[in-house]
Amino acid sequence: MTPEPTMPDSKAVALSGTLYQRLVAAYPKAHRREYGQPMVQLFRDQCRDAWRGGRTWGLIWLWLRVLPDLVNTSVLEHLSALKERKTMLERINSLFAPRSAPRLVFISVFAGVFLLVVTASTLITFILPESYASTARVLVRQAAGEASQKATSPDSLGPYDPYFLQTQMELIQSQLVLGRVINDLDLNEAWGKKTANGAPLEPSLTLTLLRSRLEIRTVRNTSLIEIRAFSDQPAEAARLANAIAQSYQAYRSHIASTETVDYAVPGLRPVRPNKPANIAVGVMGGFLLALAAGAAVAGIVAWLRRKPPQSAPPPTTGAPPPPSLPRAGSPLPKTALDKVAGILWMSIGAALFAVTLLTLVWFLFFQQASVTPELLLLPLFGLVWGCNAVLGFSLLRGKRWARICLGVEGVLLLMYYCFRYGLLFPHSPAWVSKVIIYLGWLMVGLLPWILRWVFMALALASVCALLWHRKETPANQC
Amino acid sequence: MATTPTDPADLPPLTPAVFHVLLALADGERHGYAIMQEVAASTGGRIRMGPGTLYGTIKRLLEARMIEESDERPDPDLDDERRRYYRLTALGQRAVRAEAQRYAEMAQVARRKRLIAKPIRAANAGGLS
Repeated sequence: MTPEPTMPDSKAVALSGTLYQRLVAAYPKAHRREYGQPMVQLFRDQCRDAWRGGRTWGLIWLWLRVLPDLVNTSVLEHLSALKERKTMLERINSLFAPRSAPRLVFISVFAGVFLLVVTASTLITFILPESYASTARVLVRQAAGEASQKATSPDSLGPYDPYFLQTQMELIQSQLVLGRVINDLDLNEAWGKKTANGAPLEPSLTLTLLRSRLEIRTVRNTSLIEIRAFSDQPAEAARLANAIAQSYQAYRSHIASTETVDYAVPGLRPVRPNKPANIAVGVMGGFLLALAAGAAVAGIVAWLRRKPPQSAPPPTTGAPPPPSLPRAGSPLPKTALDKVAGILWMSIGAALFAVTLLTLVWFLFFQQASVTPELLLLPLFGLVWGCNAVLGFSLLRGKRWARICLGVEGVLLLMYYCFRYGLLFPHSPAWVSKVIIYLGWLMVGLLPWILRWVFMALALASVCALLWHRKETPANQC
Repeated sequence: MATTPTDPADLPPLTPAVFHVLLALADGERHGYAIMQEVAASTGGRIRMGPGTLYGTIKRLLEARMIEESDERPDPDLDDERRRYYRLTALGQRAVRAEAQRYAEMAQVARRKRLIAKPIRAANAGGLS
């Protein structure tokens, strides 16, 4: 009944088989899954018969018979699949069927977490006190004697202090300048009425409060310093900014001429909280967290409700089938350890990815923080953990390389902590541990799957963008 | 959803492809390639089913519960374990018998109307012995 294997298939037969295997994609997915492999096997048998009967012409005649059959029956199967498509009621019923419990759990957890995060972020946005900002700008000129003795300008035309503006920014926030503002505006009394039941505040506390309501920065490529003050009252914010500008001007009056080029005016609308941005971040973060939580809980439920493994088929007598070499991406039989590690790694990775990105958005857009080297590492850290989430997912899918990847990463992480805490080579320089962790990250990014490459490319792009941003903002060089 | 008829009399006439597959399985269980070969042999090579037609027919017959998959292997030594074997169910046997009977009755009518010749065996028995 079966064709006897006499010799290996000719190239034409093998090529025909491969081509038909591709063409089977024309059938509906369910049909393909059930009958795709037998159809391809049958076609290969027919190819061998045709090759034995008429060589190339035999194959051509076979293709001429099979192609119309393929077109005709694939259309019929699609039409049949359309008829069998479930009604909405059947879909709802199947959603609540016991066998689809993990899906239901995923949807429930996803919806719950998403709604919770979005509602919380929206509520917080509307509960947060509104804050108005006003900005005064001061032109600062450097006196001849102010430059550092060692520093010279790049073109050697005269003394040049690269830290001059930065020094002035720190001076504006000093007690020398702000103390005068506190006295002039009587802030101890005024803020004491608001916060300490009418009792005047301690001067040190008032100073700390005032500093927390200030933002000093330079205007790019100029000698202008922006003094931005925040308050819950627009008039007070303007008063604070102007008073600080005048106090600083008075302080520098005996050194060099300084003038206020822009006086602060009361703001028309609050700058904090930025409601649309906060809600957008809440939706984005809620989606990511909900996705991670839903996948983790549904994975655990699916694992707990898994079917017992089917008994292996009885061994056949005779020659065993030729062993097929496993491909790099081929699924492995999953062990319980794979599943636990996969779920754990995926959840932790996704959560850290979401948290890191949210932190970055918070620092850059809401706190408008300076770009520091630590902040530069934040997107890289988050995206590498995104890679790790993909790694966990790959492990759950039984990918062979995921185990290797997890092993390599585990060893490198262990080495990193051993070096960092001096368990191995306690006198080694600090950069050794950093090199190890970066090497680990690089290897994670270089391992297969396009999504991981995308994550790594995004990480590198974000670091480059932040580096560029840092270079373009001299005031932020700290 | 429509229920599967259990009486062959309730079934509409079978399509040629379905009838040929059921006929091929009437001798015993076979896999797809063997069914295809049997159909080709029994029709003198006039009908050669393509993989799409064969497995589309098998799918419908399985859904109609006229055939079923078999776990047994006639000769495991010579066989590929990936192959799926099919066999007739009781309903399938009744259906193929009913369809064959219908064909026989139609052939009898055609013969009476002299549209086709008498059976060869009868002709040989009468004329050549």
